[in-house]
Amino acid sequence: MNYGVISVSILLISFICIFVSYERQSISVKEISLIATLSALAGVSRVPFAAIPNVQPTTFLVIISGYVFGPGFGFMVGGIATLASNVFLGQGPWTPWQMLAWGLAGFSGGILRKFFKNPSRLLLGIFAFCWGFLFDYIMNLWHWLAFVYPLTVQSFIVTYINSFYFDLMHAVGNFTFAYLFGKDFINILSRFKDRIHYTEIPNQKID
Amino acid sequence: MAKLHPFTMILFSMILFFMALIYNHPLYICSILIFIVVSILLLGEGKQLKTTMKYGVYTAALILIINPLANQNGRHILYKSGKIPIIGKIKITQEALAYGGNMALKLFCILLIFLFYGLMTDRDETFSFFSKYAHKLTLTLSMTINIIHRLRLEIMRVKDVMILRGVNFQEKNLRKRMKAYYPILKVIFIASLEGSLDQAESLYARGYGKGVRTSYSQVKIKNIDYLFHGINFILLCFVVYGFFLNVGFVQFYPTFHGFDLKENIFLIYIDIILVVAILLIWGCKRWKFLRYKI
Repeated sequence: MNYGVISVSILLISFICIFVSYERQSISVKEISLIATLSALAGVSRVPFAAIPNVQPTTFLVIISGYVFGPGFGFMVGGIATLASNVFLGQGPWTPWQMLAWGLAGFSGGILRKFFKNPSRLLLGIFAFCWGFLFDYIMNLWHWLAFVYPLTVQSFIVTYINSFYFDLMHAVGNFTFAYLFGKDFINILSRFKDRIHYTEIPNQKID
Repeated sequence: MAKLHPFTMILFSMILFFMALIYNHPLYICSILIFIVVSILLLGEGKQLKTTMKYGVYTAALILIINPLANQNGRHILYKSGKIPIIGKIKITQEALAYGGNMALKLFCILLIFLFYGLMTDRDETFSFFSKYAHKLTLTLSMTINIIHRLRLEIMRVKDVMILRGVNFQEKNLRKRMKAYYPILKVIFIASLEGSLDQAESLYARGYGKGVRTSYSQVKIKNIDYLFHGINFILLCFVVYGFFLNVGFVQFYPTFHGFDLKENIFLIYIDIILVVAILLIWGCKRWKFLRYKI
């Protein structure tokens, strides 16, 4: 069996499902434009750090937006940031995998909030650090599935050893960003969340 | 050359993409690769071809290294090492090298398919095509791309203001320089979020989401699209038929089995279709008669 083909097919089908559900959601214009802005910020932040390999605040920004606005929102920010920034940086077979990895990063950020309402700087830092490794592991996975044969533990290890230093750079970069800016950015985003959400008071109460 | 309809091209590149993934016969992959390279050159985009190739070289090299290291199969041994902790003995075989080379070709193939798609279609047309079915998604995406451009101007503006206020961005000390840049980050962050709310309000004021969306223009299906759909259909039939015949596969391990005659004949059929596609592209670019007809 060709695992490269199977993995790509599963990925494409799941993306279609996610995007269809996004289309069907009754999402407000303000949320759409917030997703767009956060994705743009996350996407654009890949550029200035391009000189240092694999260090970019994108992962951290995606996690934070997922943390504040919820898992679904985080996933969309991650996915759209990748799609939009790759318009400039170059689309390729890596695009869907980056979308998946960053989308999941945002999603997990939303789940983190369910367990930790008020995370410390260190916790955010460690969470982002782990995502530095996880992100590259997801990216390597396709590489391993589609281009390496046989699919054994040994070939798996060799594939991952090769990219260890890049992964480490990513993770350390993430940790730094999350440790230094995490709290500030969460506060800013929470304020915006409060601004776009409102609760309707039933008519009887006003009378 | 006239750009193709996005749907035609999506189908065509999808078929090529899955062909490149499914087959592991070097000749099959080579013919797909040659087809794409020739078409890109015919379109006059050699420069982009080069930059995309550069992207791929690193990953291709990685594949070439990993495969022989990870794969211990194969009869023709080139090098044998002593025992290494965790990994164990390493032996590099000719077959594994050949397999790695084949996979590297595959990678280039896949990379270039993406470029090929971009060259054969118009980006705006792709957008409007998708906006018909997924308008929220395309709206989000086009807003994002718009904001990315605006952010650049915004950064310059904020930087100018900060310089006027006496912030030194050319600080030698890295720590101090980072401290100087940090406020920019925050200002941009808040300003762009603020801007997004304004944008949402202006969308709302223009009646977004209050009914079916109208469109200024429609992407038309041209004659060339029908021709390419024909090619798509025949190619797809061949791929499915080939799947049942089980062609396009070569055994690399334990020894390279060589090329089967049946597979080579099947490849000729596929190549004929690809050559027709190349001729079509060439005709649309150079042949005046065809250009006006299409």
